[in-house]
Amino acid sequence: MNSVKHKAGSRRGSFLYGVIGALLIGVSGAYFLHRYPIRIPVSADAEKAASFVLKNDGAQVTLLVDTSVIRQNWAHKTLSRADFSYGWTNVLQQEFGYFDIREISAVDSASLAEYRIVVYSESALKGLAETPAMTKQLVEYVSAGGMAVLDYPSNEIIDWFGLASKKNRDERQRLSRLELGLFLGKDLNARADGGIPDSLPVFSTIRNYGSVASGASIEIQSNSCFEYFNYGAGGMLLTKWDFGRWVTLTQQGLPDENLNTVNRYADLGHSDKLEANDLVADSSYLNSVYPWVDIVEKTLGNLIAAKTFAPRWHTTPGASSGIFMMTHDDEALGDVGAWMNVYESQFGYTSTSFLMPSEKLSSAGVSAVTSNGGEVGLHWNRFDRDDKASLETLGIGRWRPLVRRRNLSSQIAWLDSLDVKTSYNRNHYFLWDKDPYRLFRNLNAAGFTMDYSYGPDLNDKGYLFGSAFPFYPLDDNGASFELTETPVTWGENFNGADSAWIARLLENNASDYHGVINALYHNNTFAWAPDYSIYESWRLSYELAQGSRHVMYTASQLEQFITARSTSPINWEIDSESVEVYCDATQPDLALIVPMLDLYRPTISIHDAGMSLSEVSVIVDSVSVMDSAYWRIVFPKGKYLLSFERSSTSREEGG
Amino acid sequence: MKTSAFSFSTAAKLSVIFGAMLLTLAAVNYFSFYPILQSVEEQERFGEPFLSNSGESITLVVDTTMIRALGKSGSFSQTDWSYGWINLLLQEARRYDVIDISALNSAGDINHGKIWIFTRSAISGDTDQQVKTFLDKLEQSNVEEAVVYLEAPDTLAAGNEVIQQLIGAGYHARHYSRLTQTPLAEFNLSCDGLAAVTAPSGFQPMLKFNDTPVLWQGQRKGIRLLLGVFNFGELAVTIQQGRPNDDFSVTPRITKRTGLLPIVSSDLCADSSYYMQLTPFFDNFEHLLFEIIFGAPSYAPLFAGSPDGAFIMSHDEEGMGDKSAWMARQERLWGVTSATLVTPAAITSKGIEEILKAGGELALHTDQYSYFKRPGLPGLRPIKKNHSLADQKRSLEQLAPRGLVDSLSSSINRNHWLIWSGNYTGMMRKLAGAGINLDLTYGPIGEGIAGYLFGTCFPFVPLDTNGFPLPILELPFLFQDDEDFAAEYLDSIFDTSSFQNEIVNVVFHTNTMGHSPDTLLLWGWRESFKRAKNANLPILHYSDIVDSLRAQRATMPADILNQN
Repeated sequence: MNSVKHKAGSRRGSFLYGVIGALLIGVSGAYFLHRYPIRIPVSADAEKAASFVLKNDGAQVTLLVDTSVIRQNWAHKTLSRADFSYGWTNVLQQEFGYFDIREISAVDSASLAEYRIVVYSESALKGLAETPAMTKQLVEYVSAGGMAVLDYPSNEIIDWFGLASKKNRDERQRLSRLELGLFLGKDLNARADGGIPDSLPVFSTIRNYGSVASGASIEIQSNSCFEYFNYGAGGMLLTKWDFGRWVTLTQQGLPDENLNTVNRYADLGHSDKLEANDLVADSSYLNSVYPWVDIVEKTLGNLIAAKTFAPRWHTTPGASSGIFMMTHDDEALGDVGAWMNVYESQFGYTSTSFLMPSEKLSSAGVSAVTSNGGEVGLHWNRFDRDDKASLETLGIGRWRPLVRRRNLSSQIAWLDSLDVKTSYNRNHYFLWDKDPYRLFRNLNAAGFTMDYSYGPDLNDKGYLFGSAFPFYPLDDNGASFELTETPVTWGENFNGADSAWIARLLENNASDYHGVINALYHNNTFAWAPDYSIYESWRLSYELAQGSRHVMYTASQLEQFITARSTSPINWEIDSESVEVYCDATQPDLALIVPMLDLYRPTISIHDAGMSLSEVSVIVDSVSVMDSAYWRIVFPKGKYLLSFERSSTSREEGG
Repeated sequence: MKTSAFSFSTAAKLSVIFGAMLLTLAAVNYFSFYPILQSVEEQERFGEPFLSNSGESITLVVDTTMIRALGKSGSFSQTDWSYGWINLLLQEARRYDVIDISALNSAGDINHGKIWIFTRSAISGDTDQQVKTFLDKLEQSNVEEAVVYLEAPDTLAAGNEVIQQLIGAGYHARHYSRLTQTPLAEFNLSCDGLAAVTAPSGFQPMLKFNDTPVLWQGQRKGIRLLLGVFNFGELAVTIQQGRPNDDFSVTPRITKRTGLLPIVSSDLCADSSYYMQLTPFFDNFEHLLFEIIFGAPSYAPLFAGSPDGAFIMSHDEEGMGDKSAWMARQERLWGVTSATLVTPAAITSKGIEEILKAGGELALHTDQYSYFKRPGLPGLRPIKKNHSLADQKRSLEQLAPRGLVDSLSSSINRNHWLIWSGNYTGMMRKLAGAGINLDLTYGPIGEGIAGYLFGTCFPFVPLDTNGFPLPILELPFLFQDDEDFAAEYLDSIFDTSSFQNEIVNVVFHTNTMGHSPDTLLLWGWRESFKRAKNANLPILHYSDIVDSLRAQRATMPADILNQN
């Protein structure tokens, strides 16, 4: 009996020991898990590839592509085989705004004749070369008065026009430097800054077609690289180098042959991290006050307009000379980060703040931004380091044994919880990915429409990507994303961006380029690099922008503007007496520019029923785009007919 | 079965052992994150009798025996604060003598004295006969325009006949009351005083509190005799140095209000009505009192050619390290200067060099709140210990690049977070013990609190709980950028009509724009310099105060001016 009792007591004792042991282990384990939570992997962000956009909106300018050729060429997944036909969408977006994109196979002679300007992209020309009927179509189109732009055509295509001799043909020359003076046609010494190169790499090969009876040419390295000649009643503009490719690889960046981002500059102390500026094709671009891509594009645009009287939507609204965007990045400063917006609201200034999800950010902080006229975007934190801003913990109540990095959807959800609905993004630290297209696919999948992650590192400033206008990046299938990238022009005092430099940048933009100057001033700079001169330059930049007649835009205003440009129809008719332009401004404040040439001041009539011209305010003045003079007509939203009478000289020449 | 039972039992016991080990590790780990604070030994210096006999025209007479005796009371109200007069004289005249009543009649040539102030201690108890003898001698000495001030409330209350004879028949003081209303409308003073029900014969009232005369003036042969019936010493200490509980403990009034934990210097502020005083009310009272005693407003400017005083901009570094040099760098571009007060924790020699080479002053910002030693092994540091004040001073001096050590103002200090001790003068004793000669910790903190909490912006010598001066100076500041700063403050603070000889000094932290950015603060920082220039205030360093006092051979405990 005693033995049984003893055994039972022993079992009870062992059980008690077991319970105590389990409790001790459990409590200690729970403590350690809370202190050192287990890191769990983050789920990959969704991706959505770009799709081929085709437009047939009745524009008089069109880009012809062959999407099957594009797909085939990108399927090789190598840079050298890739096709950049859709790179032309950015040229046309900037220079014209309103244009069609057509499959070349879907365009017959009749529909081709509806266009005044037709751009044959690399892919379209490839199909063209293999289809004599299409070639004939092109020859007939130009003969009948059309303007064809051919991107890097083959010798066979040149031969169809019979304009070039075959002497010295195929002697290609590797282009190395693009000299600015050729494009600006101005005294560079008056503009050049110490250390800023007046020529930049072009990474291309010029094709020598032999001698061409040229109407006009633009040279690179003493070689004609753009050649215009009259043909029949029309004209042809040849890009004798792979222009679509150069534009894309300069604006969007240059990956390696395997389409990977190269860690070119290893700066900012994050030598292992890829940043957007690692995509910059050449270090010469890291400190450039010249928007190279825009300059070349505008040179082309001016040439085309001069030959066709093509009216276009100006790149800046109303009577302004450029667009100025102030942006702020919130680096987990949280609610107090709205201090800049408070200041801005006192003077009627606006800005766009990219907010990073963090425990310090509440809806009050978001409200402080928006109630002071600011706009909000996401500051996507892609760092995988263990800071609170980038991690989310999982558990029960205050016990959080699991942790994982916040992915894009988690960061969007955070902003959602603060009632922030945005489709604008900027990556924290401008961090980029080894796959240079993936982040755009992530953003595309998440519904973003604008990205602002292309920008300078601490040692950079200016037009790193050659452009000051939003562009539509290409996916690695050759199609354009339906989201824009707007590069940052300068960040605070990075690489000596002082007030004098900012003033010069804005003045040059106002006089020549009329682009989007996009400034970045962090709301937390005083925490990590305090400097009063940054504060001064932030405040002064507004004054300088206003002084140089820039209009101040937020992200949504910029988006509305570029949307309005691309959806507002323009058509025009030319005869020996006059040029008539019909346009339908879908948004107020669009500015139409028409090459001045020998055109007299236009007469304007309204095509909207129930409205008379006396009821609207129309501004007619002149504007210069890189030394080419244009009539500028600014009118409210509505349909207008403009009639420009041609001078006698013009009539004789143009017919 | 047996084996299984054995295994379960063993496993159960092992689990307890393993669990206990794990729990121990967890506890060790926990204390590494939340270590136990161990107090640090600080050297202290205590208040000591201070006497000076250099043949100055103003003589303060004290009774050190009486002060020492009362100083043992352990009670603020019982302690004799006669030495409170030295701060009025330091501010108004700079140089004066302090003699013990026992040496009164052997204090050299009586003719050199013009003004004799007999403090409360010197004319109480058994000393009245000595005072009478002195006055008799003074009468006979043919000293022209001699002035004698008698601070005698207790003596009169006791109905001391000798003193009454001096004043004249017919004067009676009956009751002892709290005086609150002062002749200066803008502030309230609160001190003990006597209400005279009958005016002393032949005396005129010169100053009233509550419409009650508290200062009478009469003539005794060639002597202008002043009778103060309020306790000026206690008043001066209460306002300037602050008022603790009667047992000298300090109650966290402001910190309790704002939810902050430690006791801060502002908790000493005597009355909540001083929380938003933008004029130097006590200095103005001292100017008035001195003018009555002296017969003319003849205060001495601390800085030659600048009767209104000076302006000092200060920056607390707050662990920002070398980056904190940005303000000094910018001020150099503006052509102005400031003092940066640093904790020798995050800053390096490079930062120190940059501040000094930008022309800034570099002083000490001792941190007794968040700057700790963590003895132990890696991962096993369950204890934290403050760096002593002396260690922090030494560390700063060691950080200074060679050749720039002499440029440091390492004996000038402000406590991080304005942290004070639970004992009235405990912190002062420690600071003095660490070799600090000018402390700047007195100032406002918290919402709705700014300005002259201590009635003054002139350095004063604090008194210890024994009633004797401590070898240190205290200079209160007026506002901090991150503590409810408002642009309107500047209008009042830089209104020169409201002050004279003030060392207007303010705090703009080097890191506020990092954690609580606001354009108002940057404006206030720059605007303060502009206002100072418009008010013709020279922009100086804290060390200039000590240098000027030294150059003027100001009367004060010698160790203050002997510190480096």
